[in-house]
Amino acid sequence: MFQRQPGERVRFYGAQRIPVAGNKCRVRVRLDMPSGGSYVAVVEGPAGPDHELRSAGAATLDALRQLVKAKHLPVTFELAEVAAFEAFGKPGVMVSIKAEFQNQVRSLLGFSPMEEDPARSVAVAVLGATNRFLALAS
Amino acid sequence: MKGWLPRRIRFVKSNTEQDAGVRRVSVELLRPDEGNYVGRAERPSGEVDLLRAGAEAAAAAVVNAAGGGDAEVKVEDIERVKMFGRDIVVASVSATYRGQTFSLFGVCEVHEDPATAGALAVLSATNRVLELS
Repeated sequence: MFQRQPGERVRFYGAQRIPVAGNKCRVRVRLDMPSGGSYVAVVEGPAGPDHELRSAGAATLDALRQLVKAKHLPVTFELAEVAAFEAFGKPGVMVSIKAEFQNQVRSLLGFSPMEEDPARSVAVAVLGATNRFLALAS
Repeated sequence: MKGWLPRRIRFVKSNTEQDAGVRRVSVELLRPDEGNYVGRAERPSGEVDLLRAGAEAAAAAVVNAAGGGDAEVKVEDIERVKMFGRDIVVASVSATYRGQTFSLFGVCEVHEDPATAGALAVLSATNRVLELS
């Protein structure tokens, strides 16, 4: 009874953590469209677990901005907050994103269990937060 | 919500009734052009129980709205956390649809009504798999 929503769903392809000199770290995130097309973003920030979570969130949103631009969607995103915490006795990550669409601003929340690759977990949380109105999927 | 992209299933309302230490929650969903679907659940009167009752009622409503595909939605766990200075509910849900079982998570900020927040967290979780939005 449920059908696919119109439009495609973008999928998380991969994330890469690249240590760089000066105690910094780059996080590279790639999102793919099933019909073709990849959106890659790299964000550099301080090294360290919390900083790298934020870099991963920023890179995912940068990749999404490329997608939004390519699709001519009048949506803007801004990464508000990223934090690791414990849910159901296990580590997880929560993201808060400010989205603006047709002069309305909304705060979107996304969650993912913390997996072996924290950057992936953050990317999945970002896609979960933005999923509803961009037909995105991890 | 006006002006945001259309949703295939919309949350309409939740309703809570108190009866001798038991809270009964109903959640109503709307599929435009198809109809309304209601799910119900009841729990003891504690606050966490009200979150869970809202979540379970939403899960039942989603199954009703699915109407096929042997859909099953179960609220595995639900937790209220303080994050970013906000009151947020996180729901862990297992959903089976067309023979596939998914472990899903949904979040929602708690405003006035915990039952509604629990329900919206479940809808957030099932959105991707069951094409809700």
